[in-house]
Amino acid sequence: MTVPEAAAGAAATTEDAAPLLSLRGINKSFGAVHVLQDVDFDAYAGQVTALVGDNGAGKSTLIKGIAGSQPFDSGEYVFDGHAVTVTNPKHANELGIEVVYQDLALCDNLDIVDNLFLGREVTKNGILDEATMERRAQETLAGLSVRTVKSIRQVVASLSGGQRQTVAIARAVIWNSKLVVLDEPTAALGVAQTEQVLRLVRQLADNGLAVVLISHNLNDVFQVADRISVLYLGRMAAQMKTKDVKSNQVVEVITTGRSDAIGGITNGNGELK
Amino acid sequence: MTQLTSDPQAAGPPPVETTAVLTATRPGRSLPELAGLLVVLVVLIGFFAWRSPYFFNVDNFLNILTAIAVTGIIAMPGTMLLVSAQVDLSVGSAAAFCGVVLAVVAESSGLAAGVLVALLAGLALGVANGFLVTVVKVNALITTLGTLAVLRGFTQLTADGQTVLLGIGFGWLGTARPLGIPLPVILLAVVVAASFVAMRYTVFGRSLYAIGANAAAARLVGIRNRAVIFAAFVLSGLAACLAGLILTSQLSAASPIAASGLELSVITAIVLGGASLSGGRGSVGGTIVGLVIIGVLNNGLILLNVNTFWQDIARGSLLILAVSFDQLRQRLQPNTRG
Ligand SMILES: Nc1ncnc2c1ncn2[C@@H]1O[C@H](COP(=O)(O)OP(=O)(O)OP(=O)(O)O)[C@@H](O)[C@H]1O
Ligand SMILES: [Mg+2]
Repeated sequence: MTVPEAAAGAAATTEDAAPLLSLRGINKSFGAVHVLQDVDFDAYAGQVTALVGDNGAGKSTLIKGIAGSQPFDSGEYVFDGHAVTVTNPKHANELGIEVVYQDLALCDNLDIVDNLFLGREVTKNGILDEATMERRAQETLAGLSVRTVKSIRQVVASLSGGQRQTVAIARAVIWNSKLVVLDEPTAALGVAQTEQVLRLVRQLADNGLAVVLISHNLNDVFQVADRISVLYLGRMAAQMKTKDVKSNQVVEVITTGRSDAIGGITNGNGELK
Repeated sequence: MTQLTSDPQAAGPPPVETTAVLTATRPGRSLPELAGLLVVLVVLIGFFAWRSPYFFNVDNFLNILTAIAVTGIIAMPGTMLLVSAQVDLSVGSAAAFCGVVLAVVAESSGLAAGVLVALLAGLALGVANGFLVTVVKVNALITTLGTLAVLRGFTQLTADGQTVLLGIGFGWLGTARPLGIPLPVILLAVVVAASFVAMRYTVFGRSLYAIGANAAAARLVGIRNRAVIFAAFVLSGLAACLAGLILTSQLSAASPIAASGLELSVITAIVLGGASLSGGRGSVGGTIVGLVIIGVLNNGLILLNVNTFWQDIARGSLLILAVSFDQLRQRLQPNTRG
């Protein structure tokens, strides 16, 4: 188990940097159900920000809003210093935002290269440019130190759960993205494959990307996250730095929504809320 | 345990960290299934060549190709539809409708007008199916089962229940032989080549495979599923129309009951060629092999003077046999689904 510490070092160096993504006063309803209420959320370049919360807290809804697949009803969305309105996934992609969904969104009948470029194929005169796509796929996987797949032309159906997750993550970074959101990337994995994916998650942040990690597993969170944001019934209960809190305190916030347990209620920047 | 690798729950033993460089060798997918079919084809050809002195020669092979031209032209967009988990059952009715439209309009306004109006009709039928499936969102099977019946009715009404004779010289489309090759065979070759390129080397084809395997995923990566499916239905309408014109030309007449049941031959060929009704699988090459097998079977049985009813029995049995075999093959080799 050689997964890096929660990279306190990286956090320290970017102490004063402005967040890459900054959401303020976000609201989202489905009919009469008010799923997200006045939510604030920040994510920083070079850091893993864990987004935790009980089932139904609104984590997936929050990231679908960030990704533009289910736009927010209201609120401020600032990305890379600019106020933006993200209303569809293509727009989010253009900004440099990529999401790895809970169910991965891979096509089993296609191979790794096909899946990496699906929806954004490289073409030359209307014909798929397979050579270029192969080369970029190799570069990207090498850059992520992926060594477990035999051939990039392997059909995705023949990959293990961890390898599939790796392909989904590689797809998120192949376009020089700035923010990568991962929805429960280790939920379905065994111990060894979880380690492998967590190492990859840490590597993304160390490569300078802002990473948002949704997880129900606090061990995973404490292993790789620099910051933790807790959603409770659609409200942001607390945003804190991993090094400032203990696991049981986070559990307390997740289950009660009250952040008294972590002493001063912080928004993650040390300011009192 | 056979599906171990595709089950994310099955963590299995820790992955072996190989240090091999990432290669780009394609583990020859879809080859095993086509190989099985090719063996069947070779056996059939060998058998008929042995039993009939008229089977194994160029003229007979051209006969076989001419016989499968109409089905084949329709089966190309048909393959695209099946790969994306859609189906067009209205192709037989559409072919007959376009034939009758051609004959009726040609009678009053000349051949050029007839061909033009017929092609527009084919386009409109494709658009109608595509609209119902992608905008109104009626399931493709139901939509095209409906248009199959509606079109057949309209065809009968337009033709007044009679076969419409084609007075003026339109025979060339179905019977001309430039360079000794029947024109329908040339048209088939053109449609096949275009479809092969589209399916294999374009974003459109790649999108069809993605939609058929995982429509939700395709949408998430930004593929415009509905536009892609709509386009495939339009192509299907146009292909059915072209097939209808060829049929009409070959007979020098448009029958309102022409091409009845053609949709079943089309689907038989496509499925025989390795496509799955649930989408994501299938190829132009496979469909061609499926078509040729059926063509050879029909032709050979005729040459051997076998009662034509046996053709249906042979074709149906072959289909069930091929699909059963394919199921077995998949269960034995879980890694080559695809
Ligand atoms: N499309 C929708 N229509 C109506 N309600 C929805 C919709 N999507 C989500 N919800 C509701 O919003 C709430 C938050 O759901 P969400 O999926 O964001 O939770 P989550 O935090 O991701 O949960 P989990 O940990 O189980 O994945 C739930 O009560 C859910 O039922
Ligand atoms: Mg969720």
